[in-house]
Amino acid sequence: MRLLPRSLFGRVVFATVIAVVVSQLVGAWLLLDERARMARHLWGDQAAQRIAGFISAVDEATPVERLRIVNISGLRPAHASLEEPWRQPVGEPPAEAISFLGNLRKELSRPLEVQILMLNPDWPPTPPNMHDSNPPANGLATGDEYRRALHHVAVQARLNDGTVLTLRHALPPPLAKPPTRLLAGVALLVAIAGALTAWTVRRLTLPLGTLARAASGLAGNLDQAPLRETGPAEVATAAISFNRMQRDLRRNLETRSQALAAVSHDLRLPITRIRLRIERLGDEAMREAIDSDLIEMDRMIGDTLEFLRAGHSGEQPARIDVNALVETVAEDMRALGCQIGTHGEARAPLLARGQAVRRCLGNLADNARRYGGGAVELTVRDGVDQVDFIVEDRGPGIPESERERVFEPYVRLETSRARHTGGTGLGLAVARAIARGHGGDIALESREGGGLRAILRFPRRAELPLTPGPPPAARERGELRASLTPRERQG
Amino acid sequence: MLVKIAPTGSRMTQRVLVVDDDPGLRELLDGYLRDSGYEVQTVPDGEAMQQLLAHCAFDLIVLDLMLPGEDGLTLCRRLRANSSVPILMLTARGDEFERVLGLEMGADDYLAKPFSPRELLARIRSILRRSGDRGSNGASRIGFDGWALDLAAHHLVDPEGVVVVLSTGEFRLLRALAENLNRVLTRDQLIDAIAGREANRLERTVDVLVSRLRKRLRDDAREPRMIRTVRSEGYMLVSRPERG
Repeated sequence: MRLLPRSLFGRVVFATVIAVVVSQLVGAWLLLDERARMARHLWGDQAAQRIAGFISAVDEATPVERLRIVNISGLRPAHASLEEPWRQPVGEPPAEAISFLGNLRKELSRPLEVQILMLNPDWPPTPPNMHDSNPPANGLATGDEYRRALHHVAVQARLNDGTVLTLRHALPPPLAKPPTRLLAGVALLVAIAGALTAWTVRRLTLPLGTLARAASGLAGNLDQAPLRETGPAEVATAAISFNRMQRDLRRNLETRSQALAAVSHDLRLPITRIRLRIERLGDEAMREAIDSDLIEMDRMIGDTLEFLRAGHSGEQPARIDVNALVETVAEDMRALGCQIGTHGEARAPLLARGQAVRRCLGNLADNARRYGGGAVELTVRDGVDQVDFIVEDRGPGIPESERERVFEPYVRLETSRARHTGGTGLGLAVARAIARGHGGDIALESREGGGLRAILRFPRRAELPLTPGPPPAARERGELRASLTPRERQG
Repeated sequence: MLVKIAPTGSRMTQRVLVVDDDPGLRELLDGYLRDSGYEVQTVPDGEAMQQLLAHCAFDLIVLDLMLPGEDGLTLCRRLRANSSVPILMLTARGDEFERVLGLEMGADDYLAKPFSPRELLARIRSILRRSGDRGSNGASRIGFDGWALDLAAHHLVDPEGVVVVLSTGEFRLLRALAENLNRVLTRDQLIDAIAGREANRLERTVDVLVSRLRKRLRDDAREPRMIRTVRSEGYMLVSRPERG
């Protein structure tokens, strides 16, 4: 049952058109019925009187006078004649005809034998003087069409000398034929109402589309520009509510981040104290061991904070030397005993937050070093609109079904090696958050011949949104972010 | 195994004021800095600091950022209004925004908790050395030969304005060299400067970091023009100074 359109727009237009058609048809039916009733009413009262008077007059006249009366009298749309034979009635006349006959009898000055016959329009053949007859003012049809559309009612009276007087009268059939003009009118009305409705509804539903886009964009970017709070009351209210929700969500998130920052502050203080305390330890090996544990603890705090404010650390974008950055990351890896080769070159600086990009690429490279087993290849590919960093290893790779999951914070794939090699499980989450904070992203795929390939893509941009981090002033510049969103989608 | 270097000028013991709300840390810093040859006073908040400063002079103030009452940034700005006493800010957040603010408010340096004691000592020495030379200078950039080292953003800016991202070790070493332009820094001093998260295996690291920095600075490793090797002494960053 796919008759009903799915969109709100389609449904409203559909319902409106149906409503217009039905109401117009009901209206037309009522109009026609009322008109027919009116016609019958007039026909019944006045026509009976007139026809009775006519019949009485002809009845009382001499045969010569009768002919003259019959010839002269137009009685349009009726027609009189003395030549037709007394006809046998075909079937039962309708109820109106019988009551009309009753009226007629009452009006006759003398009782005469009268009968009423319903005739098809083609019988008897239309008399010559009907050809140029004017249509009655019933507004339904004209000329030939009118004649064809009518039933003829014939009244026959046997006069006192046995002569048969036949009076024919045209009747509109009760909706015998579809009233095409009326239907055309209805169709026109439907078209106009439909078009107007479509225009109005389209205008009304457009903000809904905007709302839907804003809602789906919210997950990725809590800092997107607020919706315009204009339009019809309901739409404006929805936009206001949405903006309030976005503010509340952001505030909520900020509160949590602040709580976490406070916790980390509180954790860092005892770590600092311990580091000072162990200075007094005589056992140097012990001191080194405790210190490296403390460093590890601090790294976890740092990673958590980094993830929470990924790309929002207050660092401002600048044109960075991509090749030097790649060398730095590679050298950091070599210092950790990793065999890493670098390939490719960027032709121009990239507008980005340098330390964040270093962290992002460093996390990817570190991931390859930890799980990739052995050699890592780091390639820069400078495109027209973006710079790609490709990190490849020859490790066991990541099954396709897990490739999105590894970007979730604190997720470590349950391989025994992963647990031994440590890491906070935030590396990839932080890396992706940073990449997305630059309008880029990270994709994982399997490498030909075994291993994992991570593609980190940063779009080249003329400007980057200012950091929407702690400074409230930067927060207010939401429109700058918004102006970049369409391009972010492409990238 | 503390590397003790006699405070420059060595007129008398230098006085350090520690402002931190944590009693444990105050006590520990007091002991540690005393052991390192400084005269130390500690106070828990800004009010006590102001009272003490009213009748005592200090060579350096170690100021915690998060303090009850007035926070460290406010105090720092207040101090700067009528004093040039060197200030080392301590914080537990360590993001760039705070570094920028701290330096803008007039702090001479900035140290994130949990710092290593050696790192603290190195920073204190470095600040005192600088203030002994040419008075306090809260510059957030040090320039040399067209290059600039951004102390807040922890990166290097080349003569064309393009940012060269540095690792933490690279930054610390270059910073030590840049703060002592045209002066030889010994291997020990450099180890002190980069002493941070990986305090051991650093002896070799100095040479590695120097060679990495030469690459970053596009300096010729065989005939270095900027970071020069001074045989059996250490390294020196050569430039006409242009601090800004």
